[in-house]
Amino acid sequence: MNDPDLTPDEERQARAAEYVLGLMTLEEASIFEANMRADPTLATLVRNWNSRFAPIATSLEPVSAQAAVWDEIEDSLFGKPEVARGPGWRWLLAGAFAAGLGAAVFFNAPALTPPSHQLALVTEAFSPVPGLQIDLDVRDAQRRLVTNPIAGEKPFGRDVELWVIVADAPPQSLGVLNLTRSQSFVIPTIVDPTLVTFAISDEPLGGSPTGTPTGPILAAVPLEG
Amino acid sequence: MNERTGPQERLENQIARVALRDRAAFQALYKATSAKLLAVTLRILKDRDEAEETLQEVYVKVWNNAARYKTVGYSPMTWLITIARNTAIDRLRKRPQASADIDAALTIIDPKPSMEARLAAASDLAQLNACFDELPTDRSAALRGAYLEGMSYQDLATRADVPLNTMRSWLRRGLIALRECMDR
Repeated sequence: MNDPDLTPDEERQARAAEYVLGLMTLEEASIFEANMRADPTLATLVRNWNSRFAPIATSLEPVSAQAAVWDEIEDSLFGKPEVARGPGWRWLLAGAFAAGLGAAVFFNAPALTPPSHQLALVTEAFSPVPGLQIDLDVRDAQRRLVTNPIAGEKPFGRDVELWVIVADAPPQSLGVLNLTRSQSFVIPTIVDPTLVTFAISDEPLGGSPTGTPTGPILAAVPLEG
Repeated sequence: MNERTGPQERLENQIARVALRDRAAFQALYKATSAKLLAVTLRILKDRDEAEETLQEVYVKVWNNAARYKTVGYSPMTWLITIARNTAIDRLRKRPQASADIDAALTIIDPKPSMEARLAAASDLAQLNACFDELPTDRSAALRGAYLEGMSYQDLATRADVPLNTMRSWLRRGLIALRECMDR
């Protein structure tokens, strides 16, 4: 719906501002986003509107968040600390030994091996490569990771690279992902699963030329969390 | 860190280190900015629990998208506020019905970064307020309601007791006048 008395330039400005303010309907907003992809100068208008209005937000009286908020952020990004977890399979193992060898018959084989981890790397709508989902099956004991692409496509002329991050060490590349089929990767021996994170980044074709991520991290998931 | 770096450089530095997966920098960034961002999400959602849950989402996005910060051409606080506001409005709109994903605004790389953006980011509250003051009161109230509280055209029309199309036309002309004033 155009205003007859706005010039075409004013109309563009008004649309960009309405988009920034969240005043568009779902349909209008997706059309606007498509236009913005085709015409990056629209993105500039959007950015300028956000910058013009930001001082209002900055002037709000700060409100301190409860300490639990930071803990939740850390937990969701980096996993819960070891002590917070239940007894798990190690406790079962200890029980089996305490009860003598015979007790082993009560456990089927999978209970005696560390469980594999089912994880998903999902990019947010906000991500440069939205709508990407890659399921990970991490078999710690076999030092294998199997990827299963569920949704999304790689960015045009770019590759998506898979990384493992252990504690505070720099990310190690596992390789470039094929987003059309499952792949199996060798992973390092995992000593403490609470310190392991998997991540994907947007890289030039063939993967990062430097051995560390050069493009944005698209998604990350802790091994346990 | 250098004592003499300004707050903006300090935040930019922290975001750059977050992009390199530096958790200490992430925590420092959180400490420096979370109270401001909670004020933003709280103002929109008007519910402490929801505002804090949204704040968590915001910082997860910050961690996951810090590497893109430089390419979008925002000042650090504007970038953080935009993420917070978009996440909160997304949640607000999802309360009764689904809404647009307005985060997409931050995924488009700006073709000619910085200079203009820095100038715009530097535009201070005084100038913005002076320009709001040039507008008829009902229009500046509508603009503030839309920005700060995430109100829809329908909310704004109901509050001002005018037809929706009238509100739409007020607000759009208000926006054009506001931009002209700020670009003077």
